[in-house]
Amino acid sequence: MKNLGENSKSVVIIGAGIAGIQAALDLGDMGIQVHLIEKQPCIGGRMAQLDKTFPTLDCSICILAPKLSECYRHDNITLHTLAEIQKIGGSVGNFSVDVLKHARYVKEGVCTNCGDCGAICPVRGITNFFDANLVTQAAAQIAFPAAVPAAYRIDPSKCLYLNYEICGLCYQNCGADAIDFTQKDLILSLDNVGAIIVATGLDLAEDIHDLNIYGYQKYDNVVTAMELERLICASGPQAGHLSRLTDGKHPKKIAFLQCIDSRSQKGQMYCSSVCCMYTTKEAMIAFEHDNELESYVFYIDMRAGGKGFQKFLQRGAKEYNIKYLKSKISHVDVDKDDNPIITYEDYETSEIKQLTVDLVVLATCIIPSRGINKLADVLGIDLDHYDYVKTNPFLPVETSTEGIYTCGCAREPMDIPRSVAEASGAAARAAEVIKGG
Amino acid sequence: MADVLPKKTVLKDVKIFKDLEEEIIKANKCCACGACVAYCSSQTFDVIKMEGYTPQFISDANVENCKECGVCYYICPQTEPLMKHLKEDYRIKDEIGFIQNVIAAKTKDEKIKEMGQDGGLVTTLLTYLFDKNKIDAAIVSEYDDKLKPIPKYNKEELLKSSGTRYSISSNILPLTDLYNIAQEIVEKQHQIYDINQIRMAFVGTPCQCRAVRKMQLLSISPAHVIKYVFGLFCMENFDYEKLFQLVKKETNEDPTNIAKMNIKKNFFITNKENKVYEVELHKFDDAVRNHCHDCDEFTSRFADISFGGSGAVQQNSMVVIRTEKGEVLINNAMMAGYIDKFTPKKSTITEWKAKKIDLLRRMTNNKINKS
Repeated sequence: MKNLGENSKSVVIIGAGIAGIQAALDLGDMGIQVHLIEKQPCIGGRMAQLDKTFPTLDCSICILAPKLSECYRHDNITLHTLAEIQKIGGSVGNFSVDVLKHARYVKEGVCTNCGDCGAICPVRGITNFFDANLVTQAAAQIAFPAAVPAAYRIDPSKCLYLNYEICGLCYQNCGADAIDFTQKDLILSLDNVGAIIVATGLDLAEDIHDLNIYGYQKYDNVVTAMELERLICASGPQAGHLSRLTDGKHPKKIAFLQCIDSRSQKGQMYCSSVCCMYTTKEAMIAFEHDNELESYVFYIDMRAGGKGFQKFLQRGAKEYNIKYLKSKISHVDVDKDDNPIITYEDYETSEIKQLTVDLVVLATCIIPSRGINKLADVLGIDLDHYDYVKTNPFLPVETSTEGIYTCGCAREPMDIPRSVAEASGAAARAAEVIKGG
Repeated sequence: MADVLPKKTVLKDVKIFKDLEEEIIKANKCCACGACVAYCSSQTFDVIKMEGYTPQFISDANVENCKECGVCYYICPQTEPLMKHLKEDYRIKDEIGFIQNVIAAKTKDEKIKEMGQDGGLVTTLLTYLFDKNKIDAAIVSEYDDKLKPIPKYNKEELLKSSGTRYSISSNILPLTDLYNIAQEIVEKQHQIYDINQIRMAFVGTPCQCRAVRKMQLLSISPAHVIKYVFGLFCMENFDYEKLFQLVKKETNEDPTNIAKMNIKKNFFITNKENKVYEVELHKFDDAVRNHCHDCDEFTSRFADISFGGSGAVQQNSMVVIRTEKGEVLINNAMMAGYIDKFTPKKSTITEWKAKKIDLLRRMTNNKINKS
């Protein structure tokens, strides 16, 4: 692997989702030192959670996993998980960055990912963000078996040893001697950083708003699109057998409600951009699980602006038994068997109608990553009205501060291909700084 | 025989089951809730078991199996650690604890009215939770011949066990085998995909509720599946064998012919032919469990809702609501028409509540002073 040498400037990339990973790989391959900072214990971000990607219906983790391990193995990429940016100084070409690294309490290179610590840990009931909080795990935990880095971590908020100095069972049980309770949170100072890329990605409307009028968290048969991704995923909580959370029955009739919290004064005023497509994708995958499935998509406008996207929707209607209903949702409630009833206005006939289904899926709006305000303060970059990173339409990857670039959903809601393209764009701009453009 | 490697540990001076045995069990302070055994066996460490009312090492050989993690000592409701923390969490400052609201209420279900204790509230609320698919199973007081409670998986099973049993049972013990519980749920109710997904309601005495809450404070398996904790008012509890010997002595009835028992001012015993015996409470003193003598709880301060007959008018239960969750549940059950709230006629609601809280306080102090 080529390398510009010890004294050359490095690039700090914040966020190790698909955008951050692509930018890191591009820069690393150019021989530039990269520090990839991720707040979660593993990399991969939102894309790792998805079952399939549109419009090709490729398995998401299958595309991503090679990139994850490449990132981990890459000579020029240093991965910092459980880390966040604390302070920044200097300017373009010579930033200094302080990174707060939280203790993992497990030695990364030593852990063999066998799971003995998680099995013996007596703590239960900690929700796993990776499975959209649908399953719980122990305090000695890993987000998913193929996580990178392939190391467990101990959740310090619930660990009995770290809080009460009892238990210590994982330490006793670990054959590899990987548990290290002496680890402390530490601050890592990175000097000679030429450029910074902000790739902090997205959160979702359900993370900040209660979606009660759609029955979410009131009725178990109302789930969000991200929850459905996990439920339908072969490596998800139901091992790919989509069934209802209330009674385990396979749904025969699914309603997909579009524009949840987006394009609305009560939620976000913008279009979330990817929901029309992923909804069709999810309906298609669900159909492939069960060919008797009927899907109803309650939409306001169909937005399919992308290569092959319009054709994708038409295929959905023709081959996958998806019915698109132009409508406005009033509310969702349930009958005595927990079947959701959707009350809506049919825009074709202007009538108020009701439809009873087995499962409701909410296409919730993409929102900026919740830590972005704090990070923008630290970095000194501007955010727009909606808290996305502010950019100029003709310089889409440049932030308001020279030498700090952005890409992916940190900038605006976008799909995976665009995030990847922008990541390469941001990497190219950062490389200009390092190599002298 | 292979060499036994020394146990590696990060712990310093942690109290373990041996200490529990020394300080609590041998000192007659054990309340037989089964928390220690439930935790240890659910971990399949193969160290301790419940022998009647007593947790003990399975055999001398099993002592070696103890991992010395100290969790059993911590979660025991009779030990000191965590108590301060727990009291802060449940806003307990005095002998009757935090009271969000106090009401008297009764069931609207005719069948429960007949069988249940007082207002039949516990059974009714559990029925409501089953009907609305909020729980998959409930642990109530009915137990098998090994004094291990049998979880209830639906309304029908529940109705069979309505009423109070005045002898202790190890109510936390059934949680040991979550896999069995999960299997029963799948057979009797619906599919579940993960045993950690089980949702249960727990009904118990103050000491048992305390054990559940200690386990929940540590997020310890297997108590993480308990979603609702219903506490009972508890003056004292009895040793099964001794109680029935005394019942036989006082009433000449065979224990199998007893239909119902109820403690009010005195002990009321009803046989299956509906004959009621009234016996003074102190006559049963010999059967009272030892740990009850040091107990300072009457109204189940750590529950979501506590229930009892004391203070309520005929056919009603006193209901002390302690948590937000408890309040929501009572309100929902009321709106759904499961229970009827009692409205005082002679005094204002504020006066009535003050009177009732005062009564509960006095009864608690009586209990404390008695010991």
